[in-house]
Amino acid sequence: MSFKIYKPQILRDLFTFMKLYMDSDVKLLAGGTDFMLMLENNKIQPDLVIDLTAVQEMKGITVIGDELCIGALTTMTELAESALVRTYAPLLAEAAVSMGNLQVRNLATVGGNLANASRSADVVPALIALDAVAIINKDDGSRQELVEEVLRGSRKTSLAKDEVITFFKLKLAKVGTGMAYEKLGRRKSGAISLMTSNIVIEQTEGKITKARLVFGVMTPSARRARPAEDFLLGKTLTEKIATKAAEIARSYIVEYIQMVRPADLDRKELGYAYKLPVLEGVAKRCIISAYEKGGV
Amino acid sequence: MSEIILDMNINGENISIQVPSNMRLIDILRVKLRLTGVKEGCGEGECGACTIIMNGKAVNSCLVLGIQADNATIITVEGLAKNGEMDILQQKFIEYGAIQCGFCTPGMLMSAKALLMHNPKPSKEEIREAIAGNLCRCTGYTPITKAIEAAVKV
Repeated sequence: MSFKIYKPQILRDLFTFMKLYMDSDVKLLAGGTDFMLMLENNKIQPDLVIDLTAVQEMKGITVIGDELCIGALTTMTELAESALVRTYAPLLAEAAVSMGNLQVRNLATVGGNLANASRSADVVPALIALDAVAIINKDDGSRQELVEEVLRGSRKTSLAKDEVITFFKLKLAKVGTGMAYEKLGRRKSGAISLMTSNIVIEQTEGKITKARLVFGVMTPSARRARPAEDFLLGKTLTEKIATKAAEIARSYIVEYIQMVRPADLDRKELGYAYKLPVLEGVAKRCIISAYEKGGV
Repeated sequence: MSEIILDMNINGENISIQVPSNMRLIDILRVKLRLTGVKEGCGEGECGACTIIMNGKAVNSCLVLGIQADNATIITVEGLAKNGEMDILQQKFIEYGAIQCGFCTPGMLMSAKALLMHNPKPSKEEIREAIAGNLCRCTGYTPITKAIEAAVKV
């Protein structure tokens, strides 16, 4: 299967081209680590492929004011090695380094991880836990949307045909913020995520002022476990409270699945029977760890 | 059939080559340029046999579409030897018996080379991490990591 290729150097050219080819089957290519597999397996048969990798405007990690700005073409390796990310969003650095193997991390991009909207996406749940906002551009405008809201189910996003994620913005972690990440996979390296735990806890004088609990892979699109977050608010963490929050998170996920895809709970390959108890244990450990890291 | 022209620097040589638009970098290297030291194992980024160095980073050439390598600097295992003399990594792989069937060797060498290019004195742990994406099913990882450690000491 052959296709035309276009490789823009600047965003303006990209949008002009996307508009021109509105009626064709156009696929955007970033790191390519998932794209190439879909292409080889004939799961996609585009008329036109637009290679984004030369667009400098979609690269780089900077701090602007009180926000960390991350270009959509930033690779997992760049996220993991960035001093800014490690300082202000260590959860994201940890999630990035847990993906695949080094060769894959050297190619795979953060924008691709979101646009691809795979259930087992490695950095997307971390972005949600960090309240990251995606900046989405098109020919005649741009919009901002929380990463959680960009996701509309497995392999589904809010992105229109003429839109591109150009970068991400997230608030710099305040003093008193702790983060914890854990990934469940079959091996240490090169494993697809079976579950990830992404926890951010802010505290003032020991009292929790903000909590974010996101468990990747457990739902078709990653979602904040809001009831568990609300339960933690205003509390001074004890082991008992962490246990209770983890229980609430587990119940929330069960209720969510019952609402969106109830049959999934009995599908053996999705492994809820073992993942739910594991989640409870991992969540508790991560909540305690994040709280302790934030304590000053 | 849609074709594209790519400019690349491969193993120190600037080339311009016309290829089908849907050709993977691994096929450009192996089929078009006869650099058959690049091996295809799994074809999906799991095994690392096709590892090459692109713009200073180890990548799986089976996961790279040709267009992404336009204007790139690429090193394959064929580019390691200089003036007929093997790279120190190649010498140590032989010395330490780090090659049995040899299929994983080009990928192992390129992952190790990429590591040493930006970290000339890696720790044991860093060496293991650098080759975590390269599978070997016969030699075993111990002689391979020992060979890389020995190359670091030179």
